[in-house]
Amino acid sequence: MNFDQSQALFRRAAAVIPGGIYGHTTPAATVPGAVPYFAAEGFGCRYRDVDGNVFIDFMGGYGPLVLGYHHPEVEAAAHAARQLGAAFNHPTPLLVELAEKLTQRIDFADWAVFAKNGADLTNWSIMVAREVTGRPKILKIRGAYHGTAAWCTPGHGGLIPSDRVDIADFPFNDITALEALFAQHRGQVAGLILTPFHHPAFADSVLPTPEFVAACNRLCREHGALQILDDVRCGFRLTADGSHSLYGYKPDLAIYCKALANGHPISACVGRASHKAAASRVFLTGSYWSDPAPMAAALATLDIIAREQIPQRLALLGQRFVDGFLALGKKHGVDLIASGPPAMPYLRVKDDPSFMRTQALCTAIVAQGVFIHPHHNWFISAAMTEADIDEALRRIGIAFDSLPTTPHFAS
Amino acid sequence: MTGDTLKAALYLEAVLPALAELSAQDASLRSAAAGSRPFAITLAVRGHSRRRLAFATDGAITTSTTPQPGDLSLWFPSAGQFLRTVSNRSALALPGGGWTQLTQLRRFSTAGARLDTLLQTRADAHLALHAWGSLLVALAAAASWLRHHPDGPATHARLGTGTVVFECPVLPAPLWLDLATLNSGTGTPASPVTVRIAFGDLATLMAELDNQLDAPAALGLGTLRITGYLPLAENLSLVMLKAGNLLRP
Repeated sequence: MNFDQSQALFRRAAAVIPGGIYGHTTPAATVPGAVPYFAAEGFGCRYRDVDGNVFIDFMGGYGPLVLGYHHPEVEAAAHAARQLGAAFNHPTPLLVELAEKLTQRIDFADWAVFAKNGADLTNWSIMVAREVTGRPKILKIRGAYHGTAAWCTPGHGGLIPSDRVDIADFPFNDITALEALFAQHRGQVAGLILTPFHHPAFADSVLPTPEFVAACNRLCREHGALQILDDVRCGFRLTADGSHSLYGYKPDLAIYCKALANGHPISACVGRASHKAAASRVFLTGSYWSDPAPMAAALATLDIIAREQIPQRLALLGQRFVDGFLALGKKHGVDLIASGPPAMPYLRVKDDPSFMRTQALCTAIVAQGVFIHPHHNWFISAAMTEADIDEALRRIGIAFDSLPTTPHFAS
Repeated sequence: MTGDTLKAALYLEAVLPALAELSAQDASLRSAAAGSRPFAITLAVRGHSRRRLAFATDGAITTSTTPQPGDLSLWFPSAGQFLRTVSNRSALALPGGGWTQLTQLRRFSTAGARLDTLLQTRADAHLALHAWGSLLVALAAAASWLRHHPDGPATHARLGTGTVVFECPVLPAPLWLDLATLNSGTGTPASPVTVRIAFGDLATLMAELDNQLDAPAALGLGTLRITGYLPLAENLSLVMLKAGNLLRP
């Protein structure tokens, strides 16, 4: 497998774009040189890169492609809407239909707003929490990703100390630390923003304990703070009605994005009626945020997710994949750790704090035409069949066979 | 800790110890440090651990924190006075003994001048050594910053432990920093490597040292390769930048 076209394109990109490719799709965060840099075409659960290499895709655009590339029903809906126009002077009826759909689907939701990316609405949601409470402080999970705004970016550049004076973080599942922060900032906490489970990069995923979920619910209620669920990565992937229902969170606001429209650009925030007036006072807009085609795609995707019980399907496929992967590790004498829900699993080599062996394993697997990431959770696609999972596992088995000759694996 | 005391710590723990490693690589430095008999100087600055530099007759320099009887011993009543000395300005240094060695002091002075030349100038003749020395000092300075800066302990806790190795084909040897012990050195570290940072060429390394490297682009192009725990490399580079800024002329 060669990546000559990817490399050539990247040389052009590096000359005219900071980083060459920036953000989460940067090759710098994977294993540069061992993975494709540019995509050409997607179909079902596979995609082709610019060199013509085809991969069984376990990242799905880092989450959006929950139903796979070119899902006919979703694409037909988006196409029909696009045929009528784009970025009108006004929203189309699809705006109302989608808001109604979400408020019907999500038990606590009485209203919905829309943007393009998760970060658009995580930022807006903390402003809503501040507007509702009149307080400044936001509590967040240490290491959780909520976007690229100054209050939460994982990057270092361009920040000033005042960006985070009203942000306090604590370790996931650490009830004592959370209680201490609420006590320390008594009367000052506007909101607690959470991901349903902890899915940091460069670390295992961690599921919430029931006690932690209960503490989040209790402390927000006791202190009059809003609970904000950042369901951007997990939403509609673990359940059809939002991840809070799986784990027992009682959010006031929740943000959805990736699986909402199967790759079409849209995000949503839903909230309770009691916060609707305050939400109306927090200015919210973007040039393309009322664009109808992604809304049509979201309506179709939400229908398919419920009708075809996609979360259950993803869980079953994911379990088959994780079980098979772990078995391959055992067969080849490589201890592996699996974490996260099976629908969005992450596996790495055990006792590998440097990630060097995990990176070597990832390199070998990508070389066999299975695209995974060494440092980020993966995403099962509903376009996969059991045969696709088995084919991926067969290829991963070949990758394991090649490991003894893979640089860094033995180090 | 004041700016002067932190800067004095960086000189005592990062800049002066570089004399030892660079004397093994640079004939001019060895020549400057050579003499008819062995000589050692111990520098003591109020509030800091001492720094001993021992000069062999062939100009090889070794460094430690333990003074020996007979060393030329200089005591500086403040960090500011010590910093005046290392920047070649007149300063107050009180005698601590070893005055029979006074005639050898020129070797420390000329070796220091050569160190300045290597670290501060970019002649083609010693560019690789300049880069290596700069990185050597930067790593030791990062360790020193983590030890002494008020934000050091919290920053160290966030960084975690692990050993970072820097490599480049033009360098005399790899350089490493062990964040568990805050020791740095050259060659192969004793502890397992957590992240290996390999610069493909001198230009890439120089760009990094000048804080002008588009690192994500360099990673994609392969002129920079980072194997292992990337966040550690990213976070350490920020500490190196902070410490390096304190040492800029």
